[in-house]
Order: sequence, then C-alpha cells, then structure tokens
Amino acid sequence: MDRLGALVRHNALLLRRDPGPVLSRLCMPVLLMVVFEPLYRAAAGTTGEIAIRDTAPRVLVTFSMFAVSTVGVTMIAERTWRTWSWLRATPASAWELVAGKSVPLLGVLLVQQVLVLGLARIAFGLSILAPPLLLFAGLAWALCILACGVLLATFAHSPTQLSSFADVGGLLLSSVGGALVPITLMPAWLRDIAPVSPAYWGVRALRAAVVGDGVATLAAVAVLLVLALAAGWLACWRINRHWSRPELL
Amino acid sequence: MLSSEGLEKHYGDVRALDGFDLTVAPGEVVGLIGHNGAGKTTFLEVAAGLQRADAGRVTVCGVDVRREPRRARALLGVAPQEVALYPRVTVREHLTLFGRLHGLRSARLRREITALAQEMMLADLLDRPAATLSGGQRRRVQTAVALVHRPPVLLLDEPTVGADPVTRDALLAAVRQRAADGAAVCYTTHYLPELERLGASIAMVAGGRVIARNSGDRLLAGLPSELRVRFTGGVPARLGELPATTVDDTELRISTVTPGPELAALVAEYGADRLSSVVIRPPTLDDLYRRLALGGDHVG
Repeated sequence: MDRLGALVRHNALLLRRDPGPVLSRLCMPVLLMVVFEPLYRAAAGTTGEIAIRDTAPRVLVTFSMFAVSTVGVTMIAERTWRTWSWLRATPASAWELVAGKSVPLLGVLLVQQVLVLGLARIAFGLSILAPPLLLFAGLAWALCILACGVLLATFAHSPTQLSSFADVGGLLLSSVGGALVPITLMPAWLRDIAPVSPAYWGVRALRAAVVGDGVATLAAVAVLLVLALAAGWLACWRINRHWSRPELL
Repeated sequence: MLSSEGLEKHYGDVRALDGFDLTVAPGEVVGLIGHNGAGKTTFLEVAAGLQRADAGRVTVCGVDVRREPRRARALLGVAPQEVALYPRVTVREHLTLFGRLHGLRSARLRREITALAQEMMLADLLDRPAATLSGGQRRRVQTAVALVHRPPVLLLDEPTVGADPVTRDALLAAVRQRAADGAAVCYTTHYLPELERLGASIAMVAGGRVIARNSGDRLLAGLPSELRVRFTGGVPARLGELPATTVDDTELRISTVTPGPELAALVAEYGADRLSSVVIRPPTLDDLYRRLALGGDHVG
C-alpha cells in the first residue's frame, strides 16, 4: 500500500504540474450540456426533467470518454521520458503502476460527474432519486474507461497513434452506444449493436441510477466492472510482456 | 551478489545474449566493456527484470530474477543508459518517489536524501525541476536515484556519458563508496580510465557473452607495449620496413611485448648517440578495448 500511495501521490503531482488537459476535460461537458440540452429535448420530443434525465448521463459519458486518451497520454509520456522502464525496475507491480496512474484520474472523473450532475440538478431541475446508486454507477463507469485507456496505451506505439485511436474510438463508441446521439434516434441495426459499446452500459447505468432503478443499475454496473477487469488484466499482461521498451516509440 | 548463468536472448535472428556468464561478488566492481551491440545493455536489462531471457538464469543475492522479479528488483539499484527524469518534478521529489517505491519511510528517507545530496553535490538543486538542470546535473540525479535505497547490487549503464570532470569525479566517488560498503557493482562504460579509477575487474563482452574476465593488469599482460624512439638525423630507412613498426618523421614506433630487448638491439646497432629520446608506453585498457573492437581474440 505504501508503494501504491507513493505512485498515486506522484501521478497526482504530475497532473497538478500540467493541469491544462484535465481542466479542459472538466469544463467542456459543463459548457456543452448547456448547449446540448435544448437540442436533445427537441430531438426526443420531451420536456423538462425527462429531457435532462436523458441529457446529463449522455453528456457525461460522451465527455468522460476523453479520459481514455488522458490516461493513455500519461502512460505514453512515461515512455517518452523513458521513466517507465525505470519504474518497472522497482519492486512495484504492473497493477500498482496502473492503479497509480488511474487513481488520480478517477478522482478527476468523479469531480467531472459531480459538476455535470450538479449543474443538471441546479440549472435544469434534475432530481436524483438514489445518490448512492449514482455514485456506484459513476465509479464503475470511470473505472471502465480508465482501464480501456490504459489498455489502449499498451497497444499504441506513439502519442499520435494513441490520439488517433482514442479520438476515433471514443467518438465511435459514444455514438454507437447512444451517448452522443439518443439511441431512439438511431437506425434499428445500430440499436442492435449498441450493447457492444461500453458507452451504452455507462449511459444505462447512470440513467437507471438517476431514476432509482436498482436492478437495472446493478446489471449495467456489473457489465462495466467486468469490462474494466478484463481491460485492466490485459493491460497488465501487456506491461509484464515488456511493453516498456522505448525504442518501440 | 549478482550471478548469471548461460543467459540467452534473441531479437529475431539477432543473438543479443549468447551464453552470458558473469558473477559479481559483494564489494566488487565489475566493468563491462565491449563495442556497441555487444550485449552489455541487454544483460543489464535482463538482470533488472526489464527483459526476459530466452534461456539461462540471473540471481540477485540468491533471488531468481525470473521467478521472483519483485523481490529481486527490491535488491537492485538501476541507472539506465539514457537520462530518464520527469521534467517538471524536482530532484527531491524524484528521490522521494524512488525511495518510497523501495520501501524507505519518512525519517530514513529524509536522512538518505540529505546524505546523497551532499555526496552527489545536489544539495543546492534539491528543489529544482529536472528540466532546469544541466546534463551533468541530471546524470548525478539519475545515479542518486539508483543509490537512494542503498541496494546490495548496483547496475549502472554508462552513468558518466556526457558528464563533465566534476560530475564524473562525484559519480565515481559515490560508486567506490558503495562498493566499499559491500555493494556488488556492475558498471558499463566506454571510458576505460574510469575502470582503473574504480579498481574494477573487467569483463570483456563480445557476441553476447563474456569472452574474458580478469583484473585489468592481468588482461593487459599479454598486450604489446609501444616503444617510441627518436633518431638524430632521421629514422634509418631499413627500420621502417620491419613488421609492427611505424615511422613518423624522426620517430620510430614499435609495437612489442619485449620493449627492453628491442631497445637494446637498437642501441647496439646504431649507437646511443643517434637515439635522441626513448619512451616506452605500457599497454592500456584503451589498447585492449581497440583490439576487442577490431575483433581481436585476446582473452588474457
């Protein structure tokens, strides 16, 4: 735990010394929700609280997808600085290194969720019927996308490649998953394949938690946690297979 | 103690390690020398657990690096060849991070950082970010990070590349001190006088294995000295045609393992009056290294 604590503090320090990307990701969804909410409302033909119940989880999921590239960039930066090999030469395990990278960003994502949902509550009258369920759903979603980001980083050979993967993949998955566009507006064939996207389960978990549907929330959370574990395990396996060699860059 | 037996590592068709055997005892400094691509860095990466060997075994203080990598890494201090620092993180924060990762707690960690800062001339730099340091200062930080937890085995990969003389002195003094304290040190370099200053024994690496291992003196024993003789009125033409000789204006250079008898023969033939100066340069580690780099098979 002492090693994990040291890594978490260190990675939080790295974020504090270069806060630009994190701040932009915190602010962007708040601004965009103000813009998107009337559009979603018009598109879905709903009004008031029903619309914001749809909009808030969607905006949250769409913009938290960018955390995939944020965590990936922090890992690729370690390779650019050649510090990853050095970390690997310490007694820290791959799990500790990955968790050390992820925990500070998990905090950022939870703050992002509080901002977006807080705005939805204060400005648009969203009522959250089961706050503990929502916390659980938000945590599971954040873990899932962070694990996906770490996994993606272990396959990327350069920062630009990672950026391409994350941008295209993020947009694709949030679109397919019904986060960018309401799923009811999507063609039938796209609706059928929506569950392959983690974003689908993210929206589903958050929306169910907002309305206090415990069963639906837990089912979606279970899928998200399985995805997170699978991505995390595969990322650690890649790291243990000596992903660190900087000449791959 | 560091020990490797029969290490093999292939990258496709390239044999980076091909039966690499080496033992470094506590308190010993072993200098790995060899041309680029000989396998020195690959060996250090395998020993540090950063690469997995295809065959063979490395142990650190008896702990198998492959079977118990985390336990083995806890016993190692590693300074990679390339400077690897976080640009916006201060020297103190680097030392704190790596000290904590090796299990040092607050009080001892603070003591070690203070002592290292003095030893490595980093006291005034502790609160400066790495990006603001010079190349030599970064080298010192990098080595300090490897030393902060006082590991029993040190793997230092060309730690003085690009370092100024002051930095080099500090680094060598720190390494000597750690060896005197009982650490086993494996040190790669192309600056061979450093190995003499460290009192290191030498392991010559070529083709992915150690082809010679001995003290510097013993390895040099079979190498020729250089006899340099200046002649008044120019070098006699006949001498320039002899094997292992070069003639440069008035100076004759003879590469020979018996410089004394060669000199005596010259005096006898031409008379001491014609010899205006005589220098005998004994072989150096640089000569040994050049011979190795040129594919010589001297294995003293």
